[in-house]
Amino acid sequence: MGNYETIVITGVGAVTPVGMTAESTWQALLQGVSGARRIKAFDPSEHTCQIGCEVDEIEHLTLHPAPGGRATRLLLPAVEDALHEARLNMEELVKAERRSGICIGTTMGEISPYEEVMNGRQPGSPGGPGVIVEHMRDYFGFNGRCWTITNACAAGNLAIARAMDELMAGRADVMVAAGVDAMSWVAFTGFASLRAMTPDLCRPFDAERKGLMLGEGSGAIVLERESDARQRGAKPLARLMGYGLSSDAHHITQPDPGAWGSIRAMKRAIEMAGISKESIGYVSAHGTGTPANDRMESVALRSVFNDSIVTSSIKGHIGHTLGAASAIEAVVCVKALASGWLPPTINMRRQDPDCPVRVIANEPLAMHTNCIMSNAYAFGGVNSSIIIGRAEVEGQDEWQNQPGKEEAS
Amino acid sequence: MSVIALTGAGVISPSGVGTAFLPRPDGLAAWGSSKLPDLDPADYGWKGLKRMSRAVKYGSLAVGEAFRSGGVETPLEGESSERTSLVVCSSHSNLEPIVAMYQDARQYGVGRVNPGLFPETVMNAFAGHLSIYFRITGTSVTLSDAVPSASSAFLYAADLLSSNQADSVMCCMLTLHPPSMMAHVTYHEEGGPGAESIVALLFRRVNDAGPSAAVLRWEAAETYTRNDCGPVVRPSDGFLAAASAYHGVVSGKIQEQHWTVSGRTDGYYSYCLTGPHNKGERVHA
Repeated sequence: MGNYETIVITGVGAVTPVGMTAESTWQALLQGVSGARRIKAFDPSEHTCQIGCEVDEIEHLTLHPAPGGRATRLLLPAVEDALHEARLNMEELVKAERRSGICIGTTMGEISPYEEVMNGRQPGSPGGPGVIVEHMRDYFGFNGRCWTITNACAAGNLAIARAMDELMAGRADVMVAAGVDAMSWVAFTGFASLRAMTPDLCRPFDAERKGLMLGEGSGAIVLERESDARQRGAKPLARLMGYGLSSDAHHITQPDPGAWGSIRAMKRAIEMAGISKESIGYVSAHGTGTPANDRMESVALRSVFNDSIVTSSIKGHIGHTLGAASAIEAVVCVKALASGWLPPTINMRRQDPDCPVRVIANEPLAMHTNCIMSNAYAFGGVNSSIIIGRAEVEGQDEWQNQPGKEEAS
Repeated sequence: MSVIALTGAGVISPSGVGTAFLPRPDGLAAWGSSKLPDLDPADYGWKGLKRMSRAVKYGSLAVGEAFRSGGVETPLEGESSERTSLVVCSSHSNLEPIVAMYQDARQYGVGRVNPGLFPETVMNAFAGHLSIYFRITGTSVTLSDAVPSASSAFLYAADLLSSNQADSVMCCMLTLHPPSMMAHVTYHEEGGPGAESIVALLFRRVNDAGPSAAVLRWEAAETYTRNDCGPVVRPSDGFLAAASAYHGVVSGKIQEQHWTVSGRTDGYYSYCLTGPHNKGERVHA
């Protein structure tokens, strides 16, 4: 890939259990709103755990009848909001012969048609992960390469990384990177079968955390090369500076307690961003609330940052939205950089001494930072970290020095 | 134009294990919708897979054979492990475990579903098993386009190599039929689901590849003319075509092979695989 021009974020969108837009989600996160309630997407009466974080009234999210199933309907408004904030009109993009694409990260994909079949009904459209991209392409008119990435709970970060690659390689002029997952019986029953679900509230990094709470939602960011964005008069909201990816090769569902893969992903992201680790002021943690994940992530954070970093997880607010999680968290990172506020981990009562990291507990923290790291991990031992930086900073050369073509190749 | 070196191939097809019995790219359609034969990876030296799903057993066999044909010892160790990446293409390999979860819940109740089933409903579990079995600790990505596309996977591999994120990339395509009850709700290519196959291809940068590697070049084709571009194969058969061509050029039967892959809405991609004698170009994507 030859072009290491700065990649900027010019629009964000999100649909979450606590907000129908990126801004309302952000405000709800700062206020400590929780989306936890009894599941409505299916009848949970036979399940021991019956709560999750759902988006209400999905049928009202779009003005027109939306194609596809629940996941597609969750993603459409997020992408629409992100394009609107970026002031991008897809028809004009096509007329101007600009190439646009979308990378979607998802765990279960458009699973509702499959569940309808299993419940003896005839779905109106096909299921699977890849159909969401097909719907987005039809609806918005993306004319470039589109990707569906199914790296489970890290899929959002991988979609963001791939979108960055497309822009850096010069194969696209505008990329939407998104993540989506809808509440499904399969995921709910599956996590329950693994005894990974909390019976009450999700409490990342808490001494008495009992597991994750399943959520649903979508997040989307618009990415462009900085020169293209400025040329058309768009105001960059933030910079996408780098990413790091690795695999544990340890266990299919459990993270490596030594956190070696996670540490490698963080270090690679820092290296690609061309910054020092001291430039990063906050880490948006994967923080699922399972004992194993939070312990592993704490080991990784301590190893990379010592005691110098603050972190939090928004999964206490919105649950674990699987493939959407890191896309939503990227949106949150953009908001945090712009506002100077960092979201808290809610439901924290007493921090786990086995998680010796500086967790922002229960109340938001006022803190300006130039760079934020966002972590996501997944089944199959997938580790991912991305780094997002402020769009405009003083002394930019000191903290940001993206690698030139020669250095990286 | 994108250029990478193909250094190993492992194939499970209706013809069995290996590349020797693969038809040339223009003959792939003749398989119709044949299924894979029953195989035991242990017969080929890949042990410890008895409890795995059919997809993982056969996938491990294909990937193992690709490593073996590329002269790479597994499990990988040290830097070789970290510098090897995995790109998997799979669109509905998770449907059998989804159906099994429902059957379990109906038979035993939702609270007693086999915990071994759910991880396999997650599309990248397949890559996770490969990663563990062969100790691949570089980037692992699973692509699940509605119609799996060789062009996407090869491009991802080329990017990983050219950006120096990896020295070797194992690309694996799973083409397995969905359970019959799901066949009408899965997206499939025009003309039906095609034959089942699992194909693994090991790529390296051209300059780093050994003397027996073949060189794969491809580019978007604005227009398609059969004389220049060779036969057209379906997107999901792009891996099989590469494996077939690899056997041809490495065994010395042919000097080069051209074929074209339909990228559906992305247009056509024109491919050429040449033998070990012609590797003068640098990798780029």
